[in-house]
Amino acid sequence: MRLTLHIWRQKGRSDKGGFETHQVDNVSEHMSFLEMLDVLNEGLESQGKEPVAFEHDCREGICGSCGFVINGRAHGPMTRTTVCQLHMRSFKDGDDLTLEPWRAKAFPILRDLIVDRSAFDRIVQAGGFVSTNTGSAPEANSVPVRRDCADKSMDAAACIGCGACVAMCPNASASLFTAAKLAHLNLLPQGEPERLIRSEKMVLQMDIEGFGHCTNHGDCEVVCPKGISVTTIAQMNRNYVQATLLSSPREGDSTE
Amino acid sequence: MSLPDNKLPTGPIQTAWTDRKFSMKLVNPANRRKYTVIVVGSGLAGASAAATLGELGYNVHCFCFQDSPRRAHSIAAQGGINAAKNYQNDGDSVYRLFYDTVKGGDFRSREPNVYRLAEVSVNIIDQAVAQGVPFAREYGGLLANRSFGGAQVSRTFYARGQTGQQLLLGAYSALERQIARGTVKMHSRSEMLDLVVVDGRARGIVVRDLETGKVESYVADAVALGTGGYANVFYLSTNAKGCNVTATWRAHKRGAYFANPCFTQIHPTCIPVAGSYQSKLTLMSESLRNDGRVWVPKNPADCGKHPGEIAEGDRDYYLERKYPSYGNLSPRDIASRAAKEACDDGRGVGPMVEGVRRGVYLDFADAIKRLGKPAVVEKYGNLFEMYQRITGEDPYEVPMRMYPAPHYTMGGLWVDYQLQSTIPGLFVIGEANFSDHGANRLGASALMQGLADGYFVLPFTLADYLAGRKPDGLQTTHAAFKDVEREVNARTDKLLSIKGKRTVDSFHRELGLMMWDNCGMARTDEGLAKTLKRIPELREEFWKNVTVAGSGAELNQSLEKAGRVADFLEFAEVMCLDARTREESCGGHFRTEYQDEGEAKRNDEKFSHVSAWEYTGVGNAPTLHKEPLEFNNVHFATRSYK
Amino acid sequence: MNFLLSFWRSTVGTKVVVAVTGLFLFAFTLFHMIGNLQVFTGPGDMDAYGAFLHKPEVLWGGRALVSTSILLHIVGTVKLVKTTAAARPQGYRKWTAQASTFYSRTMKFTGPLVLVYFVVHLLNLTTGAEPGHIALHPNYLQTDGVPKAFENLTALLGNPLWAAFYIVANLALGFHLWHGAYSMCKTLGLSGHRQLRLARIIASLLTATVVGGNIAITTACVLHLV
Repeated sequence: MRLTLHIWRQKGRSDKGGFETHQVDNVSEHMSFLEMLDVLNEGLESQGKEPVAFEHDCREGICGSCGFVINGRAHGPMTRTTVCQLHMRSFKDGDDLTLEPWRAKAFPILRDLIVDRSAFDRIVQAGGFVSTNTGSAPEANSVPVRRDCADKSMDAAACIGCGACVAMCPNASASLFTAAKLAHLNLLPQGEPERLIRSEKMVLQMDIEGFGHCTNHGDCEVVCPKGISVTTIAQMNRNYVQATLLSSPREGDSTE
Repeated sequence: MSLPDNKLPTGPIQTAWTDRKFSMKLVNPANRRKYTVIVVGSGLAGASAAATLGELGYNVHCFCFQDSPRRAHSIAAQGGINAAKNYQNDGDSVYRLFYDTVKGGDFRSREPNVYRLAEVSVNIIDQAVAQGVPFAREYGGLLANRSFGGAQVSRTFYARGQTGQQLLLGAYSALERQIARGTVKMHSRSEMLDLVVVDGRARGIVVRDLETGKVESYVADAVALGTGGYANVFYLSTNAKGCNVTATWRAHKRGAYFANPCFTQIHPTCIPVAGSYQSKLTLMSESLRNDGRVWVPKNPADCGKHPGEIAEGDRDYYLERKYPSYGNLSPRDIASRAAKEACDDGRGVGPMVEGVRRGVYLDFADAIKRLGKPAVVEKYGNLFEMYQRITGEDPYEVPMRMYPAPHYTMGGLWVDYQLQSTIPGLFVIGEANFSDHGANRLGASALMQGLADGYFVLPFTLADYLAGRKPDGLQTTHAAFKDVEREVNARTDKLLSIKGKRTVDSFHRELGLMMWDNCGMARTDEGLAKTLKRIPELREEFWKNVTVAGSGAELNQSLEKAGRVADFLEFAEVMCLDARTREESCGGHFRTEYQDEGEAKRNDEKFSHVSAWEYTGVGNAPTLHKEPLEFNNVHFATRSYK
Repeated sequence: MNFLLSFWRSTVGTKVVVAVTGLFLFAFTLFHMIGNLQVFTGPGDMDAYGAFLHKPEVLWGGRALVSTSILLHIVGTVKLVKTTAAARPQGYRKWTAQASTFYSRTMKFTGPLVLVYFVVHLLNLTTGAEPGHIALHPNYLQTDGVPKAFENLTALLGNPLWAAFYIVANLALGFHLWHGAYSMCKTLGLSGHRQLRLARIIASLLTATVVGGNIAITTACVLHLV
């Protein structure tokens, strides 16, 4: 099949950027979307032109590197699918596709379809961990974990940090990401001692990074490749309120 | 230079590591921050090492080429992690895990290393649980286990099909905690392009900032590489696109020996290549072979037909036929080779890619009949869904198609028992070192080794090295750094200035195909000789005719790829040479000349050693050093699965 | 009080304030509607009710609560809308809604509409009783600062144009209340699927009650049934 692509091209952080139109011929329905872009890029490179920059690594939907908006939807039309696992059989001959990077102030564009998602790392630095040094762990089976808690924790822990939730949110909010990280740890007994301070600090960091707020639209949940539920956001809000309003001051809390 | 002392412990294997930990020197807590340590790579080995060293108080710099340390390829591991916890009361023990690993590795690994790995495996699970890794649990709240290939006990811990992801996120969260505390400085989107050796010791690295293109040096008292394996030498593999040999290869060129490069693992169940544009291969969990039956048509004329049209009597269930006792559950290397044989015989199925059908059926029709569709959905639903997403075929209706693919590399930089390479001060951890897996790695052991090295081995052995040295205030203004920076820049400029006709990927694909055909699942002296002749020619053409667009002072993915492929083009030679020199078949290394009716024929008399290669210049034959292997606990035996 | 300030500064904190004040205002509209149902039982009840509401402690207490809530609700919302606008300085050329609804995306428009309705409503029926006697009303009646609630209401809504305005305004209020009530539950931490389904049902029922009640009163007035 033959496709027309309108791709966002931008040289660097400070470049203004704009759309560029390319035709791709001989697209096989068995190609992945990224392989289709590989073909486009090989063509560009052999003409000495600069290829379209896009982030990718594992190409099996788990590393969270890839992602851009295809025709107004993050990661394209398939549910629970990252763009690397999206195959061309989802499109038809003659389709006209618009490819745009994630757009958010907290995700500055580095080049073409690549954005800087280091804000996510800083949210985790604010409290997305259990403070346990190597070697200090007790015997693994000394603390039983309710199976439903372990399962729900795992549901949230499946987050791959791709940023589609931010990209799709009408408010560019990182609530689903932050809430998933919080739910993963807060639901486990190992995460309980730091539950409140973790919730407070990660929410604070999310604001500092310049993400928008959640108005419960739910667009994030639909495009999340791992199907993380928006109910985690309500849990985050509950923990945050408890941490900031309802609990006694925590003088002794670690400040790291 | 001959091979340095491997520092293997003597005395009883059960107490060797404890004794060694006691005899090693320590660094006073107050002095630790005076030492700078560089960790390259942020996968299971790199992240766990950087986090632990940060916790101990060292001044750590950690580097990764990805945009975040959380994206390292360890994240893609599906199955699980082994540990000798014996929670199932099925007779497991540290000794049994050790024994299984040595045997599974086909007697080409060091006994004391493997014992240590089995010993610390139990601590890894404790550590991961404490970090909040959501392992699968029983209703009583205790940890669940599953069985995995090559073992008769149930010792594999797992988090759905995302064990690697969860363990990496655990190590990553520990790392981020240290970054927040300021003990670790993280350098993402930074690719190590060379190692700096000063007065015979590893003292720093030169990196390229992948966003700005800036080339910079970092100085340290020791350098640890956790940069993964080199399966992408085959171009198509289950590795992430970014996985590369550059860090280890450049260290090799600076004096670190490369050990057993020909030991690579081919995974039998991957989704076959669909076309020449294919960019990577996707692994499907080995657990599918528990219920799926592998077959190809008996008659090559049937290969183009719809599988439903091929009568039962015209199907060849070759694994069940050849290995009646293990059948479809034969070990990885055996199942892989048998699939290749069937396809080479012209009986492969699926689309014709470059004139050959490379695929075999993995059929669940019998399982669906026997267990009912709901039971199959429950067991394999998510895998079937993934298969359908990629191929567009419904595995409940049409048998899956599978083909083997390069998956893991047991070879790597040579290290002693303390994980130090032949360059003092250069440590190598995880898949990047030549590792504890010998000639074949058992399932669910890669995660175990990466974390063992990073959490529980390197922090001790590195202290032993640092304690003997005083921080000397070396700066990156030292001439050695400037020289290496110049070389790195010259290489970048050269790549950009060629402006030839062929793309980087076209070279990579050609190299990969050649390696796959001649240094993949089955190797022959003739094929290797031919390849050894062809690689230098391809390399020469690369340096004359490659095209790399853009400049060095910006985010330039073509340039990144070009540098990595240039290194693969050098590395491939030593890999083929190693395969050619090892005139035996063992584990993942199968030399067609050395077999007993299709079974690998080891030659313990001549090849019970580690082959460590010393670099002598591009295009020059490297020097081989042999480290003999001793087996005092596990006795040589021939694997048989018939 | 520091902790209150930092709570307010965070987006989640602001949202909680908007939600809590929203909850109060929802309750206010509900009770207000129930009070007005006395229009059906005749002028006596209605006027007595109006007089009760004009007891100074009820009047000023109520006014303080309502106006503080409205103020916090609006200031909080404006702050959040600003944050949102700053969070995506450059929009998409193409963006397709996946789950967000007409109601959820129009909250920031139905909000000001409700505010306009509120102000007009005050001018219609409240300010005429205050010193100055400014009233947007065909024939406003009051004695010593206590309005003649029944007559004022029936006279106003007996006018078809005003009745139409009130019906339209109540529909906007309905959109706002319906999504607001449901969204508020999530903001305040309701997360179970069953709880949320229940919340949706309750939000729909209560919204229907408020809007239905108000429209019923309006219809009754314009058709001169009371």
